[in-house]
Amino acid sequence: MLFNSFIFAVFFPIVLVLYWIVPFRLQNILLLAASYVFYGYWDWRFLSLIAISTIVDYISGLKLEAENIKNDAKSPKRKKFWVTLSIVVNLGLLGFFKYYNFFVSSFEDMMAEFGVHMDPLYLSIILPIGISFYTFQTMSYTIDIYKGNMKPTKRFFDFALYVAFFPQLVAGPIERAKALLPRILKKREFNANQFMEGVHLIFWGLFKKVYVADNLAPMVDRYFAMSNLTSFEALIASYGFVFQVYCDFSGYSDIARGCAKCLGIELMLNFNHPFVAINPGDFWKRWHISLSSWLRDYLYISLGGSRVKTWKIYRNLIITMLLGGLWHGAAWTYVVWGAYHGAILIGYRLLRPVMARATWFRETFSETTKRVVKVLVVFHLILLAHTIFRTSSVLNIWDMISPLFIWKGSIDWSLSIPLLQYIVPLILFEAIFKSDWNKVKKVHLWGRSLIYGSLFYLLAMHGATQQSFIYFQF
Amino acid sequence: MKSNFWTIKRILNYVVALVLFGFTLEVGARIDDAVSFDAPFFGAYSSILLRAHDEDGLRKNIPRGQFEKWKNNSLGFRGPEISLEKPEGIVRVACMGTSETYGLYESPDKEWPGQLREFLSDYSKFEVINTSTVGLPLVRYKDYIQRYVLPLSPDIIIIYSSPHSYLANRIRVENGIVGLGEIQGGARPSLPGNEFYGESRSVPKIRQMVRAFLPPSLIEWYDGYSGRKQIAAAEARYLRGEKPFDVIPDELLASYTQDITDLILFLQENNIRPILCNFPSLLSKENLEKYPGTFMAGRRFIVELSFEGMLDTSARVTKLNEQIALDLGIGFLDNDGIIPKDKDHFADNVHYTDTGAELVARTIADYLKINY
Repeated sequence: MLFNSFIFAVFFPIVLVLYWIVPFRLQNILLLAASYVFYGYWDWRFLSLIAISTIVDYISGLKLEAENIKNDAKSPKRKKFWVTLSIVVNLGLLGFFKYYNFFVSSFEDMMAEFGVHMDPLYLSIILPIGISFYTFQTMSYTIDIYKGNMKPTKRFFDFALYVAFFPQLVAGPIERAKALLPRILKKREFNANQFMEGVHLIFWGLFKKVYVADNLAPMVDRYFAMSNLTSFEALIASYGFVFQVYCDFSGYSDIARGCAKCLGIELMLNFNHPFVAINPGDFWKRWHISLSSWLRDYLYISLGGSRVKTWKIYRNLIITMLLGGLWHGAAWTYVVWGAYHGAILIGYRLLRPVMARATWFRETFSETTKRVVKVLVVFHLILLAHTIFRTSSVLNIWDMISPLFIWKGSIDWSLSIPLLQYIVPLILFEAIFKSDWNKVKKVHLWGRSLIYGSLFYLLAMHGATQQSFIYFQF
Repeated sequence: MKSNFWTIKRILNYVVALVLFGFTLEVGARIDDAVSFDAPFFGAYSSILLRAHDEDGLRKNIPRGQFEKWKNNSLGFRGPEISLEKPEGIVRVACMGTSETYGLYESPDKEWPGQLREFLSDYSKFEVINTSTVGLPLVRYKDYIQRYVLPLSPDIIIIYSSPHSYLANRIRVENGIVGLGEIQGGARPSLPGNEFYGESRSVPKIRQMVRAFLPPSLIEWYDGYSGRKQIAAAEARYLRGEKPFDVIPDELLASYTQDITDLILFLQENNIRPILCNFPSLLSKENLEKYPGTFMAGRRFIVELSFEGMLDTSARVTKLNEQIALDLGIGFLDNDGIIPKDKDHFADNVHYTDTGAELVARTIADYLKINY
């Protein structure tokens, strides 16, 4: 069920009304049922995967806690067994459905290089939407219990709701159990301000998705399908895609957070103005925060993080970003994208001492100028990363990025009009209100009517037809 | 007392906010029209800018009339500018019809005469002119052609006309409900509204947006529901207690034959080669069940015919047209048999999508290339 569909426009208000009518104990049952309907509307067969993940992690959580309490000589071994079981089952499901064919075909290609021709078994499987999100979410539960960072819940249905909570089930934010589970277990009171903020977020998310992302999509698709682009066209394509993917994904996150707020449940912020990041590390604190913090906490730190020798830090960064790339999908372009991000993170670490010594830069320019320069540099490094991300295959990466470095053709300003038409209202609203409800609500009700009226007009009259979210495929 | 005052103030506050919200939508719609279609910000802006009645009550497009995507040239025809005088060595093809020919749902230049022009662009001898006007009844084609099309000296005229609409109007005339000169086909143009601000421009846009967002099955249901109400009103006005026809009486078909024959003979007298086309529609037994709302919406203009009557008309007029063409030795095209009866080709009962119009145009283009 898509957030930007008619069926969701009917489904959500019904759930919302029932939710605030029924007593607290029934609220979670209702939300769980609604979540399964929400997911099953796409393909009910894949509900079994969510159920398997839920049951395995629920049992593992309880067993881990039992061992934590018992704490005898065999406990560490048994704990390792239960946490491994949880990880193997979750990654096994993810690996089978998402990566099986990718690894088989890569292996086949590699063997062909050595002259060995194979006829491997390819499976005709479709990727269950949201599998990367909910497997990572539920794994964090058992890992945190294993590490002693949280206690498990005995309430099966509440835990099942944590795994399947429909606003964030298919494209995040990837919530940690220690953050979301207590909110699910706690009794919710209706709060008008929270509800209004939720409505604001849903509206703003829809604007980003339907007006900006979905309108940019055909233009971006056309450019990325073309060969022999001029430099200006390649730039327009890259700018277009960076805003498309941002509005598509952050739009989804906003709607997810908005729906949850209307239900009295807070979800974490997943995007925090990523295009004003001043260094690559800062970017990852602002972009897809739930995934980057997950990778940091469960992968990067487990590998030793930054408290190891310098070369090991670089190794850790590369491994984390490569796996982060692979998380997005079973394709080599995502691996290259991950490697590129790893490289710019390492590059920044290497350059940091050099930049610290560049006193002329510090002393010549004002703080604002320095910030603008940093933002522009980081934005364009990220732009390049997204261009790699969007290309159809590794072989096309150079075709797409070379015009960005080697000037080709002439400038046709008219090509920028469709891009500006969609991103200017976005930038204006973000610049004035920073998408922050607290800033918006300070505006007089009449002023808000004018703002929402304008945005609603653009969304309703110039919004593109219903399209799926990019991150559903991940 | 004080709390009452604050409650009223609060309610007023919300009412003003709501009015401002609506005002913003209206301003947005007007700016949009001005930017997209060069429309005036104030004043009337509706399809009434496209057509009017002349002194004899004949429907005619307004020269340089413009409304949204529709634009008339300086002679009052949809399409590019043309000279009144026929250039040397050119075969002028005039396309006579009503809304399905003028173009309704198609993108600009994708109405079938527009696409025909495109398909024939490699054959420089053809010049295609869309001489249709929305709502022109078949019985007035002759007057219209005489006054507005003959001055163009066309060599070929393609005749497109809805038999359903013809028969419904014929029955109205014979029952004395309307005079021959008062017949109007299709919907009336929208009202101009107040002279200063015109009518709301945001409301139709919002209605259109809502229709695009809702699932087609719901739209079908709604069209069926509102269609039934409008049909009931139209039946009360036009049928006056009589039942609609399930089978078309032979004398009505005879008057159709007579009128079409008169028109063709008139064209031949003026050295014009007519091509008679069957009128394609979505109508079929299966589609009546599949798209009940679409047909309800269409039937409100032709309440004299039941759905069975519409099917009967289509089947019999298809054969009749072929026979008339054969008897008079003119060109004939069975477009009704060529275009698939589905929603990829039809936007409603009788109007095409870009794809449907393309098929009509291609069929005619192929015919012209071979025969002329």
